[in-house]
Amino acid sequence: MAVKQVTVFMANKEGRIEKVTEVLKENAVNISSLSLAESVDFGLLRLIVSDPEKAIACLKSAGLSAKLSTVIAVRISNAPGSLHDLLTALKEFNIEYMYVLSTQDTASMIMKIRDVEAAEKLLTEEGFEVLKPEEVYR
Amino acid sequence: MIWNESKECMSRDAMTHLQSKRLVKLVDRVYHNVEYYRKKMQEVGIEPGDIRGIEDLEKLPYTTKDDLRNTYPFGLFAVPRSQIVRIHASSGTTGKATVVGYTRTDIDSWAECVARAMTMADIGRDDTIQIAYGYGLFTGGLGAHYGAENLGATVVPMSTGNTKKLITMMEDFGVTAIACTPSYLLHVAETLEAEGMLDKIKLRRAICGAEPWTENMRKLIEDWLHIKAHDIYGLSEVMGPGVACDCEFHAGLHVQEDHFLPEIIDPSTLKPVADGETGELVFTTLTKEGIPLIRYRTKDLTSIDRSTCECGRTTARISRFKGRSDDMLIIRGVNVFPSQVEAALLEVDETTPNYMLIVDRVNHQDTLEVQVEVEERFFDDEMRGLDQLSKKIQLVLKQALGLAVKVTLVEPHTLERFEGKAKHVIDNRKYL
Repeated sequence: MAVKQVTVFMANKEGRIEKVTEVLKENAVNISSLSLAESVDFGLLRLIVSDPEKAIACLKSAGLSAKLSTVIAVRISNAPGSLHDLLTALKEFNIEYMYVLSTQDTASMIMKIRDVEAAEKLLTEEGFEVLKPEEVYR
Repeated sequence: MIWNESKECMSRDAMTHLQSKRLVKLVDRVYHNVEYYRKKMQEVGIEPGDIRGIEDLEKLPYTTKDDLRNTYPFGLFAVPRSQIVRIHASSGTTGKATVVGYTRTDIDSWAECVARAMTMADIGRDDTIQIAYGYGLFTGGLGAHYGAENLGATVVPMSTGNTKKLITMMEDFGVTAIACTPSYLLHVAETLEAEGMLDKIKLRRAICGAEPWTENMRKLIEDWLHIKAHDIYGLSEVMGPGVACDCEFHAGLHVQEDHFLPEIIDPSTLKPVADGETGELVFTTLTKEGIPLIRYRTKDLTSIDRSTCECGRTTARISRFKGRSDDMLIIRGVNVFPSQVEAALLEVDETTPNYMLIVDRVNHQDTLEVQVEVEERFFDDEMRGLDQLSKKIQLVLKQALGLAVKVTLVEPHTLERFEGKAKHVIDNRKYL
């Protein structure tokens, strides 16, 4: 069964991702997973959302560049070797990109931020739970 | 030293007489040999007999880059093709280049003008000179080369693109002079300094042109390299480098008036302005055989001074350039018109016709960034597709402009829209 992914093309600059999340929030579209690919000048934000068609419509009417693409979703177990087994099965295929969709009750976001220390400090002050390495490595 | 005292130090009367004599012959020549000119003159009711001297110059119609485009490639040539020994070309305002042709006599008078300029810059037969302009269709490389050979200097035809090799040879060959763009010379100075070679070289003179620069930039170059630097001016339509150059007094650039008759006009009224007032520089090529130009509008803004210079030369001097009366950009010595970028982008389906040029100067080198909107239906969810698109646009622009550019893909609808005349250029360069 094909899965629709929403891809947003945007400039690699301050506030662009926040603009996307703002539009989706206002339209009650839930994001269950995302991946961000970046070049120096622009980024590609790929989203798995609760309602892709609605997401595209509201993003476009907000002036953003969004389009639908088709991806495959494959369940693997949370155990050593399961990803390797999947990739072994697909070894004749070139995988362009992949990212994690958490099916647990909670999801964990992995973010790459230049000034990690300052971001961590800010998030902790704001009451967010910043995961320790040992909590992620499992 | 003066290369040709009999011409460069002529009395004003003698110069006016020579210019008049040459102008009369020129008008006769183009009227009979170039249909395009004949028609233009007939349209305003002028015949060769109406031009009896430079006092009648104003009766003649102007020539512009558009005339060169209308007659592309050889329509303004005034001699049979068998007499043309060289072709050069520069940027046109759209896809077509501006093409010029030289007879053997033209090549000789060009080399004469460049030798005069290099002598003004105190470069002579005992010097070893690196020509670091591009060799090829661009007039800079070959123009400076023939002039330096005519002078009797030892010529090292470096061309552009390899600064490491240039500074190695500069040291190994004991190079004493260099011809290049002023911004490139700053880059050379920086590289010499980084390599700890500043006190190992014997460089003493530089003759720089192909782009505008300031007195401050000249002083910076002179102090950094412990040399004297001179400003050489030219444009391929009129000849190439050597049309004018400044002497040791740096009080404007001496025009080789026996070959190129200068006028300064108001670009809006097209009427001549008084000496000393700023306006557009116009040239009539008095001796050129291949492609003579009558009152060619250079679009360069300057003023003229016809008083005798302290150096003893009587040739008129034009001031440092004060800008352009059109939208042409000069990037690393290459002429770029925004309309060329527009025409090139129309070839690329994936982009919208909206674009912005950002010009800057990083480490003394000009940079050109072209921001292009990606057509919504063409953007891709894979980086690979966008990278390919960006490379494709880069290639198209490189072929169109003859210049490497940085391409930045931007979101659709994000570049500013303009009502009426669009603004397509942001020039962040600071001329020191």
